[in-house]
Amino acid sequence: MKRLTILVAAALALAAPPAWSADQLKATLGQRGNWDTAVIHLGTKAGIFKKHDLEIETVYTSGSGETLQPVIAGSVDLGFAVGTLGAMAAYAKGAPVRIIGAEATGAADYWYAKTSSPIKTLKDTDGHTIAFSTNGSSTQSIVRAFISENKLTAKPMSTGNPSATLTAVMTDQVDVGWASPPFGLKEIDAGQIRVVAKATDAAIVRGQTIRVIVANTDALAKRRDVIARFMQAYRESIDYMYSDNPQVIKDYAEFVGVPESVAKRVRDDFFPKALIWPDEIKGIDTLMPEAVTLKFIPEPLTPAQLSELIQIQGKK
Amino acid sequence: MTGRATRTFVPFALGFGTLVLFTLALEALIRAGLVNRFIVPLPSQIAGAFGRVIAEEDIPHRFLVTARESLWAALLLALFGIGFGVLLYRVRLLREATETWVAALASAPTVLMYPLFLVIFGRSETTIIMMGFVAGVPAVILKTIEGLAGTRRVLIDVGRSFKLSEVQLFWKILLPAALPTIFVGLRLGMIFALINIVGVEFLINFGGLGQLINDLAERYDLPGTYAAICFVILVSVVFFFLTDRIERWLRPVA
Repeated sequence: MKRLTILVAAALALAAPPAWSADQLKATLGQRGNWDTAVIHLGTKAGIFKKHDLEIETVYTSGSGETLQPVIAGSVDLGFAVGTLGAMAAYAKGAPVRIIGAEATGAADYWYAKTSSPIKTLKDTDGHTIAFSTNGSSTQSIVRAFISENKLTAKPMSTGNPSATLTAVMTDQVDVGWASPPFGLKEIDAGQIRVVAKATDAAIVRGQTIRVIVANTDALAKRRDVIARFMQAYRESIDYMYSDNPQVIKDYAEFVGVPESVAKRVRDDFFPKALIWPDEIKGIDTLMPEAVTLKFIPEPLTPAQLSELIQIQGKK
Repeated sequence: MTGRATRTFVPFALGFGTLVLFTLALEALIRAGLVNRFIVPLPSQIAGAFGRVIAEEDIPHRFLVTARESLWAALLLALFGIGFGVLLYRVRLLREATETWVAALASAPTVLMYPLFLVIFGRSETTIIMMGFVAGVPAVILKTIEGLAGTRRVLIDVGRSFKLSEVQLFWKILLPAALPTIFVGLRLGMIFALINIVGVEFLINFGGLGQLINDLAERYDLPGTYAAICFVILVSVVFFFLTDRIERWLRPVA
């Protein structure tokens, strides 16, 4: 009987709510390790979300579709780094999803060639192959923009993720590869590859929100205040990430497993603050025809549909 | 209806009827809101998507690409899988040295080796075919050994009493006796091969139906995605039908 009492007491103690009971949100995030998807991690390490009485449970995924599906299913509240076209496609098909912020406006991706290659700039890619990740991806749009804006005769080639692409470049299966920092910076420093172009070299990309933050419609309706508070904490975390506090670079370097110098370079050379600021979805006029061309949506969304889809939260 | 026709028709009707009932039940559950329609689309939507994906997504070509990759993988499985199986059966030392390794390979997640195959064979159909082959070959080798080793002793003795050479003994006694087990191995191997072929097409976004499934999923075209998956099942059905026909042709008595 005494043992039973102890067991019951232990069970009750475990089941009891913790002394600090914050509002909880669940989120899926694409591409662990990228600077733009590290906002929640770094903000949490700095205690910013706790300050706003929030506790964020994160699950990292390997792609936009994988990030979006749990949001649609309602198993998580928020999704980060969802392709803008993918979010539009889901909304157009009636899925319960809303865009609550920009995740990346412009892109930090870069294109590179082997150091031994004669290709030094985009102009040299004529007649050569140039990589993008997958059909319908933002990297494909950027490569198309490179070609059209510079009138190149380069041949686009789908090569998958940065790791597979680097393999393809080093084994001469493709002439120009793509990567997203910090991936590839080590090889650049070692003199194995050199940067040929950055995504922002394409004029169209600089003003285009290519990835967004989405929320489940039901979660947004029932917990709007919590989500608005979350977005405030998110903005504060971005401010912190671009402050001169050295701890942020230490935390990011530890998170990604790179030296602090590389972590600092990722932020300073590739990710201007405006790139990850969430308050405006830009370039809808250029994104919409692209979404139709790539069969994400059958026809452009109407202004009414856009205002229902895009509901930036907590914007001051 | 004759007895034979009844024996053929009833199992078919039962199987097909079960499939139809399951589909109707799923349609009802989704319409009732018990299954989330944004995760599993209505079967009627999937049926409606067939025409669209065939017309807009170049399904015949993609189907042929995946079927061609599967065919090459199947041919390699038959050639090398059965060949190595026979070799291991014949050379006891080799068999004892490697059989455990082959069995271990059968349960290994070889799909994770796709980056290595990309380096060796490039971003091409060859990579996909070889990934399918590697995934399926252990089952064929093991079942070939099992089939040959399981040949009844009396049959071999009869062959020897007729003074058959080793080659004659193999072609006239051992291989026919082992064929049913070898075909079980081939079918198993093809299951693993097809899973890997479509999986690698999906992973590297290259090739036939696997790539299409990836594209459609990224576009959040769920009915289209499921319709494309049905075509993968069709590839599987075609190959199983063909292996069944080949087995019957090789064993007309069975």
